[in-house]
Amino acid sequence: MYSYENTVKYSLDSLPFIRDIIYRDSVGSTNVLAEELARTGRGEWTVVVADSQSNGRGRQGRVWFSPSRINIYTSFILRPEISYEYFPAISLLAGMVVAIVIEHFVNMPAELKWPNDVMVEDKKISGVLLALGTDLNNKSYIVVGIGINVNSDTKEYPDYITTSSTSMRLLTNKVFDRSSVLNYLYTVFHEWYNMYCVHNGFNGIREQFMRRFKMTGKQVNILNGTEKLSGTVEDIDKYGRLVLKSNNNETIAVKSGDVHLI
Amino acid sequence: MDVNDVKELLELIEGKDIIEIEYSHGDKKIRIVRSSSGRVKKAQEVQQARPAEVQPEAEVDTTAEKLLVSVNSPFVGTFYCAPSPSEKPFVEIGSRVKKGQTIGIVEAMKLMNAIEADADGSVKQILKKDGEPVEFGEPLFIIDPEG
Repeated sequence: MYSYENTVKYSLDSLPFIRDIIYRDSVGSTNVLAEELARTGRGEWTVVVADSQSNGRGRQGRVWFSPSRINIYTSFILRPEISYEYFPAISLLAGMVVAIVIEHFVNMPAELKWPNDVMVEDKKISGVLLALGTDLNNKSYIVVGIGINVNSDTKEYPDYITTSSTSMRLLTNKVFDRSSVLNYLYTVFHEWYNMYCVHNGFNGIREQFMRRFKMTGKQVNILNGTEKLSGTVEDIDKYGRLVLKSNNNETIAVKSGDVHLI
Repeated sequence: MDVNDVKELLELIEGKDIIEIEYSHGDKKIRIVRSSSGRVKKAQEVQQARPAEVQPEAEVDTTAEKLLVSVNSPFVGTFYCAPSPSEKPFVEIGSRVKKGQTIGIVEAMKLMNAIEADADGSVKQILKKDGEPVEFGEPLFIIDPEG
């Protein structure tokens, strides 16, 4: 019988590195469920997929709008055997992979904003959020959470999102098979994650990331909690930090914050 | 002796080849001992009797010695005391915590690192404000395992 659950399982079962697939019609948040599984010691490439989320979250508790039957909400467990200082830039790797996947299906260029926003035609098309923790055996895990606007139409979006978001369907006027997108997402993630681990960090993915990164040389404001920084974007370093030349000519490596073009 | 004194002492030995440091001021004394892993883990605070109340034969009351546990930041990032700005903080001063319980978050590049209590006890000090930048190894909380 055709169902999203069956097609997801069929599609991801064909990928030999995927250890386990947990499907839910509805879940609070795929990241929360994947973290619960990771804490019990579940292995790398344990994958959670949901048709909808009732409490999908972005950075700082922002809501990630997650209606059923149209988009992708997935999270998975990684247990990278790399130096701890290279963990945070897996966030940049995740954004880059999503950009590659979207470009493949919509045949349009995707742009990356630091650290991992994926934009097409200046509109946000995906959300990526990661969690790091330790399990019962004191081993580190990373949960990567990815939401992609696949088949959502403007009528599904609340008003506050319509001007800033887009979807693969809105960009192409085509409806996509979500299971195929998931299959390609995991295939590409696995490939670039190996590259990232072998080449120890951002340098392993640098060329692919930077060709989609258009912020170099731009003036930006960075709001980081209680701090505000301004300057010109110079580069991204091997730890994935945004390198800024501040207005008083100081070089700063930024690890956190919301970046706004001036 | 206040929160900042403890914080400054912890920062002073972090990353340096110092195993133990003791500092006294007025009627209080604090001793910090580095664990074998190199991470600053235990702070010993010795509460001395006030000089005016001291009997000549009992100048230092060692029975009041306490072991405190410092919870440090695992990497450079931004500290958050709550899951989101609209939600209550994970803990407050005096909150009872269990080992492994999430008591804060350090975020770097949208990687949210749950900060967990290193011991059962009560939260004695919260050394960072919500949204403040933190450095690697910087103390975030002091937990009193006997509190």
